[in-house]
Amino acid sequence: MEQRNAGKHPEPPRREDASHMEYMTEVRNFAIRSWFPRIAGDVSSIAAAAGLPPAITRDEFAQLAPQVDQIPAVQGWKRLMRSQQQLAWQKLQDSYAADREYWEGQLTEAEERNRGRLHYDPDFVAPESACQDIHLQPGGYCGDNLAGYVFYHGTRVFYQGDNDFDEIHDSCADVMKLPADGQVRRVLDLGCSIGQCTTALKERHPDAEVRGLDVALPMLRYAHMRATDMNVDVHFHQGLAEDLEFSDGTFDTVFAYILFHEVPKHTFEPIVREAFRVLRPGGTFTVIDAPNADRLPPPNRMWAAYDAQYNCEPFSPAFGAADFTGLLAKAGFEDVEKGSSDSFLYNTFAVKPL
Amino acid sequence: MNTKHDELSRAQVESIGLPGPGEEPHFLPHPLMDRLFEAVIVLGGELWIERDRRRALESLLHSKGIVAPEEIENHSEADTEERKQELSALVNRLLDPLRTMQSESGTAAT
Repeated sequence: MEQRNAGKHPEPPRREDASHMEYMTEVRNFAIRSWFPRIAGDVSSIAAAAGLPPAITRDEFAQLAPQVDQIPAVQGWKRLMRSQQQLAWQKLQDSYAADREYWEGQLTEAEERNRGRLHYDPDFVAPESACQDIHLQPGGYCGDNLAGYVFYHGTRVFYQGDNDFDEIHDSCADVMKLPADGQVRRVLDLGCSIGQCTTALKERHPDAEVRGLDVALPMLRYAHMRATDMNVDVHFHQGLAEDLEFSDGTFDTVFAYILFHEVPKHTFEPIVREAFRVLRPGGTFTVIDAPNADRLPPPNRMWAAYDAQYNCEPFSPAFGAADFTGLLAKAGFEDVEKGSSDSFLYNTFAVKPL
Repeated sequence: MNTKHDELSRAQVESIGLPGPGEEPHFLPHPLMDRLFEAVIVLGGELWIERDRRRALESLLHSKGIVAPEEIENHSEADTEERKQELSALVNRLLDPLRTMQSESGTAAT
């Protein structure tokens, strides 16, 4: 099936890759929708027997973890989750690497075809924190020139088929908070990855200048190729969210989709400060991210702990524990609104005062 | 990137206890069980890939009137080098997790 928002490379290199992704999606579905509910009851029972409330902190879960990890079904669930993730990435990466010259050539060809839309300094060095094998993707976002291709298809498996047409990115772009005066001339997508939200934002605000920023050049090159193929006119910049190249008051709105849980905690405050600086008075900041909650139900807490340690999400616990709305207020934002979400993501909105 | 930023990030990574490069944790009581688990997942993937391709091929052949299903059932193929290599690669993918197990420690990760 053609992927509407995938540019001209809607499918992985070979039919067998597509079949394998389909299989891995089913394995993930099974792990999440069939296996996890089975162990959730056991984990909740252990927490209740320990006298803990229905929602617990990270430290409270740490006390239960040795007992939880003795449950055979928990052991198997972790193995299934990790192996599924590793095997899905590895096959995609091997497939692209087998014809590396062609796929790299496609990225270069897009840069030549659509100049002036991809901005990077060849001497830029990404920080170590951005060079983890995040989500177990070999080489992470920065370590393989073909990381964008692998990420695009690997995350289709992650989203279990629910994002094959960028449905999730579209819905995130739909909830972006607009300035009260309705003026949206310039939009910044922080941590834009392969640009799925960036293009969705441009489609919703066709007259605005939309820019995506990310630290990882392989992701940005793919984002640029994809947007070029889709004929969506957006800009992509390589840089640090905590050190933006843009002037004060440049943007009407700044948007960050699942950025904060993937960056180290000492960058939260500088990133928020920079978002505030580059917004014009009355500008809005929309953050859509993993739960930023002190307390979670015990099964969710177990999953978060697994993700942090074994799905290479080392920075996510610090985001979960941070007083993020406090950081926004400290930076000067007002009308900070911490909303919830129907999905696994939570929305937070803030406004720069007039 | 400045050193302070990287040092702070590294400290945060270490506090989580991420497995190091090349280290594969095991969750089940013995590493062999983890590897067997992985082998089953690999096998399922190989099985589905082949089944999906065969369905597509047989459907095409049949719809074009080239080969009837019963002809496939009764066909025997020459033992080519390429076919042998494919089989060897399949066995390697499937059993490599078990081989890897031999170099892993017996300490539980969880």
